[in-house]
Amino acid sequence: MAMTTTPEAVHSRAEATYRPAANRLGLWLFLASETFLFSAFISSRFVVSGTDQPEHLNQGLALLLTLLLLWSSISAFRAEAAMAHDNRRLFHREMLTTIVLGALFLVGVGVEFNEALTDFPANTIYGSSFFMLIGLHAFHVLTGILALGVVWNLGRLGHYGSDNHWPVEGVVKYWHFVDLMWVAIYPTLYLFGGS
Amino acid sequence: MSDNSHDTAGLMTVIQRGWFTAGALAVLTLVEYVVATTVDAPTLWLLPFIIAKGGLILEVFMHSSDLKTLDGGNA
Repeated sequence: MAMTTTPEAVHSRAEATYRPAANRLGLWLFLASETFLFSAFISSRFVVSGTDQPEHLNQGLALLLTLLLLWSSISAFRAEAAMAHDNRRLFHREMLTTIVLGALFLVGVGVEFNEALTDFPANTIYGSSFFMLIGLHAFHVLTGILALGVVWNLGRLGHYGSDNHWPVEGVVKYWHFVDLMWVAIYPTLYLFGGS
Repeated sequence: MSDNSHDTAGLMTVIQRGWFTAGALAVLTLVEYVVATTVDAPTLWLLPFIIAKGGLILEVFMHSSDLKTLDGGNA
């Protein structure tokens, strides 16, 4: 087959190659800026209360939330891999699993907030750090769920494929970032003070 | 047909890698919890767990190695 060499075709090929790299770089820069935000909140916890923590932390629930988020990460990973290999059935299933697990995580956070409001209200030193950090992270989980929902729906409608799955890659990368931040937040709020 | 089976095999390989990573993350999380609840002043003991878990997520799940090639080619 003869290769098209019109300026438009050359530009189109260059754009197709350039665009994903630019998108990836943009997302990584965004995630870097988000890391600064989370770092500020995490460091504020140590500045205001060291590694002290209240006695009534629900360790069991926090561990369960951590494992839920971890499970959602592997399902998101599977969804991305599925779309990259044109396996739409697996993509649908794993995206839905990720969304449900994210929603369950938010329900767990709601339960945790309810308990925390009586054990260490937001106007206490530890409580202020706790509600700020968990709230910030939960908001990211919520936006992640919304973004996953949009991408899942578009995928369901036939968008994306092995040669065009950047939106899936982008939203899944964001989801992994949310998990990555929890890896730091969990010990910061629940474990550093010891038993 | 052979392309399809090759693609399926490739997908299985990638997914298997993901499961190994998730398993490692789960084990690290549980050991981290045990260390935190059994050791006095566990802060320093927990840092390696955070670094290991973060590194696994960054490298396997987020493909951080791709950063090296972002400015190559047409970028």
